[in-house]
Amino acid sequence: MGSKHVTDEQIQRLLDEQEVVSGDVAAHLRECPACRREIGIYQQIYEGLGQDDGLQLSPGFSESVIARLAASEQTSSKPWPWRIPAFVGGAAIICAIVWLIDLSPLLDRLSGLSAYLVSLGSSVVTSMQAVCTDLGSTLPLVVATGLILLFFAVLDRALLRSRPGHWCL
Amino acid sequence: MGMKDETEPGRLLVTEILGGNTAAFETLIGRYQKLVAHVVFRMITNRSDREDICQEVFIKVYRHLDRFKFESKLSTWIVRIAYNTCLNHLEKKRLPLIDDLTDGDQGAEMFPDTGLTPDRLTEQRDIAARVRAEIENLSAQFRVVLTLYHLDEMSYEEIARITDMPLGTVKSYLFRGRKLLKERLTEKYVVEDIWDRSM
Repeated sequence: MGSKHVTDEQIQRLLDEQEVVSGDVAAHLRECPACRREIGIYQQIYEGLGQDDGLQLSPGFSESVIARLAASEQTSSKPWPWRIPAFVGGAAIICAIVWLIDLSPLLDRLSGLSAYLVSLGSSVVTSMQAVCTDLGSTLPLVVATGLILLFFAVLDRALLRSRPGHWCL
Repeated sequence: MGMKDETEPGRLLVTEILGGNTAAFETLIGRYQKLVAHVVFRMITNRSDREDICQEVFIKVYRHLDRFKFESKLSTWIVRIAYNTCLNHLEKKRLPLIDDLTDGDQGAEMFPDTGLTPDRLTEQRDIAARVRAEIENLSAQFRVVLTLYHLDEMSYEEIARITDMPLGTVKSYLFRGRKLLKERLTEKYVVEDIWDRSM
């Protein structure tokens, strides 16, 4: 190396112990205060990076994790024996309300609505039949194209869902 | 903190935890909390969020421990969870993960101050404190790679596994991070003030 200054990369490799100081480098360092200063700076940086001042957790950390875990377990896992009576009770209350309140006007309106929906559906079917008749021999081709598109849409969705993100472990 | 040997004692600890032993989980927390804190504290600059994120990391460890198949060291697996939790947090807060990949051509005045002014630091005469203060001004990705290598003594391969980075990128981050630190420190402080004392 002779009179050439040591590079940042060389200094870092030396300090990482990936490289040993060759005779040339040693000779250069003896006569070059600038390079010695550079090595000194890096040595201090390495020293600072190896210290963990201010990176400590509070003394009761593990207890607080256990407490938080216990609290979340309690809220997330209510046992089934408690859920079944809650469900049955809820259903009984709904039945009682239905029985107590006169729902006949509402049911009349609902039956009217359902009749309207049925007529709407049948008119849509009739229209579709007319379209199919008009399309004639091209219908199988249209259906096949639709199925292919549907297949690719499902495939794309499946691939998107399976793409790993860093939110997973 | 050096790497621990996760062979039989590690397996035993995991088995105990999976069997519902809370004390064993407390032991695990005690063993790895320092490691998790290093990663979280270095990646998350907001002090009020740090401890909460550390807790979140250990809750995830507990909930997903049955997925750990001893294909890597338990410490590597836990640090990976810590790293990913921090990434999610930074994304959620829209904080930059990498804000500087240039070779230190930006001046130190462009970066937020950590509260330790050069004058105060000169008074303290603490070189390591200056270095640590300057680490805070690096981007999260630099900070975590430098911490895992220097503080936790992890190998390039382990860091690559934790961060999902190629080996070359890990080495590049280390080199650039240290070079950035050197440039910013020499730019910020008078040479005679710090470095000549160390010669």
